[in-house]
Amino acid sequence: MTAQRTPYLIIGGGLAAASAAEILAKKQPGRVCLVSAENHLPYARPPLSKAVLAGETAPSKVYLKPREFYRDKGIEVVLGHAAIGLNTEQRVVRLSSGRHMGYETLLLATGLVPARLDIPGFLLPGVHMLRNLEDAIALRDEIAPGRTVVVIGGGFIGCEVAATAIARGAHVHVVETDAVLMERAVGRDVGEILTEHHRRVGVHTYLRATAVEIRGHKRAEAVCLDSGALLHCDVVVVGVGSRAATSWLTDTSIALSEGGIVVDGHCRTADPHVYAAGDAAAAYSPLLDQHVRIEHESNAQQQGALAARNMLGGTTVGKSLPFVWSKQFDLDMWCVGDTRTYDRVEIGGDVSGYRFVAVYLAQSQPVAVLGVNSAGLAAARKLMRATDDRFTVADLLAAESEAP
Amino acid sequence: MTVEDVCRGKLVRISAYADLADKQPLGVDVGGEEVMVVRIGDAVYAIGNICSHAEAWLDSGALHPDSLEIECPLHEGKFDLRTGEATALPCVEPVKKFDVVIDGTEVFIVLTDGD
Repeated sequence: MTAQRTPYLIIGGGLAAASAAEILAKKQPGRVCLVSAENHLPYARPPLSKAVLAGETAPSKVYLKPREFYRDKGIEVVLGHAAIGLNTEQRVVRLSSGRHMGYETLLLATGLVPARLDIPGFLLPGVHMLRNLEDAIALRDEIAPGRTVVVIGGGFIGCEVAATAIARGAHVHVVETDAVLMERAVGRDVGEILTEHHRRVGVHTYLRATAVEIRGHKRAEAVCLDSGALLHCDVVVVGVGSRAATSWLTDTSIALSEGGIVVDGHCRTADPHVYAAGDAAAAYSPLLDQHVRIEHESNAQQQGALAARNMLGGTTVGKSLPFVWSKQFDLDMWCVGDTRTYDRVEIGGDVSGYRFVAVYLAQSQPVAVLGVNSAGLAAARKLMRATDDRFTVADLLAAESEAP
Repeated sequence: MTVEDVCRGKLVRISAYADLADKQPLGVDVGGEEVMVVRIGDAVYAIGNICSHAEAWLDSGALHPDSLEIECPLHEGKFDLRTGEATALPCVEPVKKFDVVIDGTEVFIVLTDGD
């Protein structure tokens, strides 16, 4: 396909890319090509920190679609090739292999790379990050009963790893720079409740703490904190955030915002022939008055599908509320809306029994609702979307108790 | 669906019958509302296209023709094509169900006042 333009070229190999490929191929079979930097067909990421890490799900089960699917739908799949250059005028993408791919319409769905820790010892064997399937398999093999795991970073990923490791009989320490676990995602009050829970089930937490060095001879043996504390360990997991690997787009006409690929409500970039979707895409948030990336699974599926619809000539605008979910120990949590800016949180329900909801408000307007072991998700969405959008936790709990 | 139901509502064309390939769910933007339409043999079904759990687009999901269900592509929940009811966790809330009218070569759904 190098001599002629690919009608629909997708750079990326995750959920957004796969969702788009499927929808494009339904209307335009044989005219879609997906190019992934990974050596795997597109797969689901959430199980990596849960069932795959726990050894409960075989890696072969996480693929979104089997190989035959792409063949049957006429989707050409190129694996193991990263995009390193883009010329929007000539409509050509340059791959790491040197291959040039011309396109009619392009979708960028390149996802994220985990942020690295700039401390001595980060490169020692035994220090793991968790983004892709290989990471999950390697880490899975290191976690065993009796082993000590130090997790640097107490966000959702770090906490899910901690939960899985504890379930597998390991000793777990979590190091977090904020005052509570998951503070960035759920705020101080809810974070405090969840931190207390995790402590109670055996996680050793080091809060307001920074890892300054990883020590070891041939592999990681201990993590040093700024307090001087030394945590002996068998394995280290670093989960300190992610960033979009979009530096290859810097000198192009594609607008970036803090690394995210700027898109409008149709998932279109600054170039009319180029779309973006998923973790790497940054859409405008009126609430935050800036372009923001949403690193959640549902966003990847929605934007991939939306971009494809519009690449086919549609004019659909994205309308979904951000939605994230996490499973840690016996806590089933979800959050609909955006918790990046609020001035008040109202919590209601059975907090000590860990069955509660929290409403995040900005100037008395609800901007997000979080539920822990709650049946109130549908009620939360309904209330978040109601035009008379002032509601309280009491309204939510009343609606939740009416849920089926 | 009765003749009265149809007369009370508004018919909106969503597809040419010929564009509905057998057992191929299609997502259609109907004035800002997402509708999933699928033909199985001679029967055409239409339900809301947004999963009530994590709001994934159902037309990307696996179709179960034998049980007349659509599976959400994200977490394997299911919905009944005839009623929009959730039939498998984690889906609990139903999605909207639309009456379908086929008039010659065109496929319509019935939008009522609530839509």
